[in-house]
Amino acid sequence: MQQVINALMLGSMYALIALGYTMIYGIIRFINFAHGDVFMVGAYIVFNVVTIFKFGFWGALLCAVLGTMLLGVVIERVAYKPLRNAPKISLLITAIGVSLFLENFVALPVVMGSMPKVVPSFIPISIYSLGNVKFSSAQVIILVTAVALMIFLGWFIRSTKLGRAMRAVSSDYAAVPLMGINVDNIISMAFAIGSALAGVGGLLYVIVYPEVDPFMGIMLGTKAFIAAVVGGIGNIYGAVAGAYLIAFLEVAMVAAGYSMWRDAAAFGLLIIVLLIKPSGLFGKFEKEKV
Amino acid sequence: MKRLSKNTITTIVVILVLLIVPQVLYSTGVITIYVLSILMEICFFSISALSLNLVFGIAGQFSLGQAAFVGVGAYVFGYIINQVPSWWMLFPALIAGGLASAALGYVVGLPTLRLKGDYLGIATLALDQIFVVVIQNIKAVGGARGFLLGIGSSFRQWWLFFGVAVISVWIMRNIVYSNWGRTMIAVREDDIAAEAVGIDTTKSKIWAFVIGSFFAGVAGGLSAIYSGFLQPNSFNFIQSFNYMVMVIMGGLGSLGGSLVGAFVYVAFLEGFRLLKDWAMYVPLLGSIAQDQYRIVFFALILIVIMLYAPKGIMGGKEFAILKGKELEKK
Repeated sequence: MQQVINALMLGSMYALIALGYTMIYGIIRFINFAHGDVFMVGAYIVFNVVTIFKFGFWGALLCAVLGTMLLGVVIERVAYKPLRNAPKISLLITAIGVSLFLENFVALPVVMGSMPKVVPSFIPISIYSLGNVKFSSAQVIILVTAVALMIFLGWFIRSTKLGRAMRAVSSDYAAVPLMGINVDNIISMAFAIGSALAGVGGLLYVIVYPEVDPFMGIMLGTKAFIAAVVGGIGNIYGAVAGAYLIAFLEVAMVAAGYSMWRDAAAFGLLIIVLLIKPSGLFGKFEKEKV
Repeated sequence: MKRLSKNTITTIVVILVLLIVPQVLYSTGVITIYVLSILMEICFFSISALSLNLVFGIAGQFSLGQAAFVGVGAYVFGYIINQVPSWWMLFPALIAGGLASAALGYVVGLPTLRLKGDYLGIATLALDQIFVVVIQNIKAVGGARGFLLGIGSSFRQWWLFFGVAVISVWIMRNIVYSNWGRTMIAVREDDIAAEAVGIDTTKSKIWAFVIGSFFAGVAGGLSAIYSGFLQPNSFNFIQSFNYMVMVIMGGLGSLGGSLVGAFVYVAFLEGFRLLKDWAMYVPLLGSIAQDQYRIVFFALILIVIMLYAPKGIMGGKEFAILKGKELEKK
């Protein structure tokens, strides 16, 4: 049971990051490899406002969201937008460049340094127990925040004007401008929302694992990314389902004593899913036109 | 005797100059062992970048797992050479590394090459990570702690690195301009049309993958000689990204582009270090801080190159000596 809680925590983290991957892929068919590093920057923002300004949960949340949102939009405008009509692979290489830049810039001694830093506790934590199971208020906060955000995003995509516009860009990129929708703004918006979710992911991460380091985004980002693919990239419900699936698999591997193999299990699941159903568990199959 | 064409003569002269000059410069003390080792690094990165270019640039199969094939070559080479550490075993071990890698390429390629585009890239990325985990769990090659090769530096000879690179590049060039290569290009351009004119697309893709893996494995063997110590994590998907960066930075589909890409990549990263501590002359010991500055600058330059030359430095062009016969006439 304790393991289930662990898996839910990990899954929530993956889900928040996976949503960013999947939104951006859904709209411009582009794997944003720098997304995991936006998450890392979010965690660092929390670290700084918590140690310097002694902010609490809400202050940290606001700063992380605004900071990563701004970062996401700036990255998109500066590095990705000029390549909108270039080959997809150039865009991917630029994303790798952005990722390298963020990691190593944060790791500069004059910025944050490459050593991991411990984040002080900034929310009051109390432990509850329900029968045999112990859980902390932090875990409740994480689960509630993550689920609330997922529900909000689902509603946003489904019911708001902007969400509809995003779905429109996703289903037919070329026809959308003809309907008088500004595609650039929609794409920036997707980056803003995706990055903000990664920022929240960073906040939640430092609550459970109170340590930050400049390269923390690589593995977590990659896992979140494969979660998005397993669920069916481009589909937000799929991303959430894939995230919890990967998290449960990993925690099960660790609980079974195969912690060395947990990454292999996650990636193996990805390959199996891709081979059986290349568009992911919940993905739409795009028929090839001759 | 057949008269040699002007192009062939130029090629031979260029190769001889490149073979002799660095060695002479090093022996006379003009360049340090560090500069020479940068050149060696360029040699094996050229091979692995070119092997990826063959898979992605020529055959059009998006692979983000090339480092795993380099890794297989490196580990197989290392294992064999550790059993029999002698000169006569060197080339058999290099070839064995390549063949092991090619075999893995075949086994892996058979199921995964049904996937296309981004999905193939993701699957190969995942395979790369699985490879790293598997190596980490094999005790015979040191597991996660790393694998020390007991060969010292006697094999670290310029002629060996350069020679293997020239032969590999030459073979890959010939493959590209052969019937196989043309088949691969046809599949890349439009696999449905290629199938319609009677090309076995699956076979063509797998051949590209197997050949690419073979040369990646050979490059891995060279990298094992170069560093003398192997670590599973140096073959993870980040390293695969690096190969992809070299290929794209140089120019996708251009053979010369991959060589330029590998050169720019190594020359910038190592040259930056050389610039920083010129006075120290100590190879490979630049402080961590300086290490990180150089990657920050490299990332910026990479972004700028991509923004201003999205098709890479060579932009689809080709060096004269790497062109095929029919292109020469143009």
